[in-house]
Amino acid sequence: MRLLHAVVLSSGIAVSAAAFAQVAPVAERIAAQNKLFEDEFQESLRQSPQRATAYGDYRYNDQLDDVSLATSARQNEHRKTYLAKLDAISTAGFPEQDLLSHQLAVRSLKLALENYELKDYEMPVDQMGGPHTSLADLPNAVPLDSVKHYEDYIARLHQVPRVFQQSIEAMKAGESDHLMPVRFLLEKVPGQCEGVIRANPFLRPTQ
Amino acid sequence: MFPAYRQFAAYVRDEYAAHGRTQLSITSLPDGKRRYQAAIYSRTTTNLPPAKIHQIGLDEIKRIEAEMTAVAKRAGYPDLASFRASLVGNQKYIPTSEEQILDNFRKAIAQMEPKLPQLFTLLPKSPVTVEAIPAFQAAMATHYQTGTPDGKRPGRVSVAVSDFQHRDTIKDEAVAYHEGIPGHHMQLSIQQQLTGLPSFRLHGGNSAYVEGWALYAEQLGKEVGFYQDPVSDYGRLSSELFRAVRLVVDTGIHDLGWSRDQVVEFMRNSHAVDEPTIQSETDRYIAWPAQALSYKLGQLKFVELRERAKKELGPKFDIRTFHDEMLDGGALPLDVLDARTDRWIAAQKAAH
Repeated sequence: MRLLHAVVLSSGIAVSAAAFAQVAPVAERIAAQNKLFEDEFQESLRQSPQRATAYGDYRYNDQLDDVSLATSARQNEHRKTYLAKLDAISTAGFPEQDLLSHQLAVRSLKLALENYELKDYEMPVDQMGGPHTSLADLPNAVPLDSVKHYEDYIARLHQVPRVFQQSIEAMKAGESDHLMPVRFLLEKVPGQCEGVIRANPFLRPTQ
Repeated sequence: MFPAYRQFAAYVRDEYAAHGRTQLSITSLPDGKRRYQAAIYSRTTTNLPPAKIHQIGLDEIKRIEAEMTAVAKRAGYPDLASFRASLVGNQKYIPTSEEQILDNFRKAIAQMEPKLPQLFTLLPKSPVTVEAIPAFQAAMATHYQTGTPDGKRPGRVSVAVSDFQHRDTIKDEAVAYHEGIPGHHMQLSIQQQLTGLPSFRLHGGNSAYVEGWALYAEQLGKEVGFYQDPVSDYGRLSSELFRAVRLVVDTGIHDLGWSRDQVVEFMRNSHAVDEPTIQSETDRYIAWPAQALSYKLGQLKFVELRERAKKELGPKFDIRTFHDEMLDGGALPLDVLDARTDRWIAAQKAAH
């Protein structure tokens, strides 16, 4: 129960910090919480350039998500730090929406920590999708209104082999942990890859 | 890039797939029971046990079939079976072009728009468009994609139109309300434009809330006088029935150890969807444990909260402000939405 231990530890830190924060006026604590939310939202966009693109934020348009095991582990450590910072903010006297924001953020972090422990990220592919389908959707998911957008798109295409390598690394970890999707569904995946090669959606932006 | 695709395909074909599990249930994996319950929580934000979800599904099927029978009788048939038989291969409901399907969607959305003020005071500020799914993505189902928060890129309802001769138009109206307004476009564009909330609450959210709302939105068309063709009303009920069936078969696979054939058989007997859909849906439930539970469980929560508010507030109940309250906190977990609604009911009582 490595995770449980870590959570207990982080809330141990939180108690003393919360006691300290108690003295700060409500407005100050709300401001601190909003700053933390905004910093972490920005961090989440940096960590997922493809999500940033979907939200209409084009700063990281030249990068694909990093799906390596090491990065997943780092992101999970980061969640623990975020949760500890959040726990340190006392919500005493908060108006409804600020309290709700606090509770929602805590809940989604705890859920992500639990899901990380279950290692679902070691099963990134089945017939419903995987790197082979999400990468094929790239030409639909990116803006193509300027030369810079095309350059960013090409930069992303160069990273496609890296994303496949990282996915295979996760799938191999799944094999040794006995975390495997259903065989007859996996057997549909190579055919889907060949379908993408035949359709070649990657050249669509030039057509 | 293609060598990377080929290498990946070869790895799956020659090595990975052979190690794939042969049991369908996710509970056959390490930590199995906990894994399914965690999936249920992630997807539905509830901790309902699988057996309870299974029973809710069976009860809902019975209730919806009774409503369908009433529609069949209104349409002049002695029972549901004969009404269904009259629809099989009925040319009246086979589209004659891709454009006809798109027109059905556009018409439903256009007639709903002026009715929204009867149901909401909060209205979406960004436009929604209807378009065909392009041929190279023909395998995709009808879906909604959000626009940008400033409304410069509209929300888009992308409609499956390929091979139109083998589709029917029976559910078009219900699906238009689901994907467009007052469903996904309404909820997601309002969420994007909420003010005074941290950014993380303006995007995404849990599937029970988002899909539950869209399924609930299908019935709102009925309340403002649409679904005038009984067949279209039957389409609305079929769409709801389909979501109830999912509660039974998802828990069938992952909790009760059903075989693929058992799932297919159950779905055929439900008459909720056609054969190709049954085949692809069954594989979907196997691959995505608990995902398909979110629609019905979410919708039932919206219905429950509405009934509660109506009962508590009596003549003070206003459907418009109730719906505003459902949408203006963004996509909330269902228990949080429930508690927030209780606070709202108490405040409404005090205010009058």
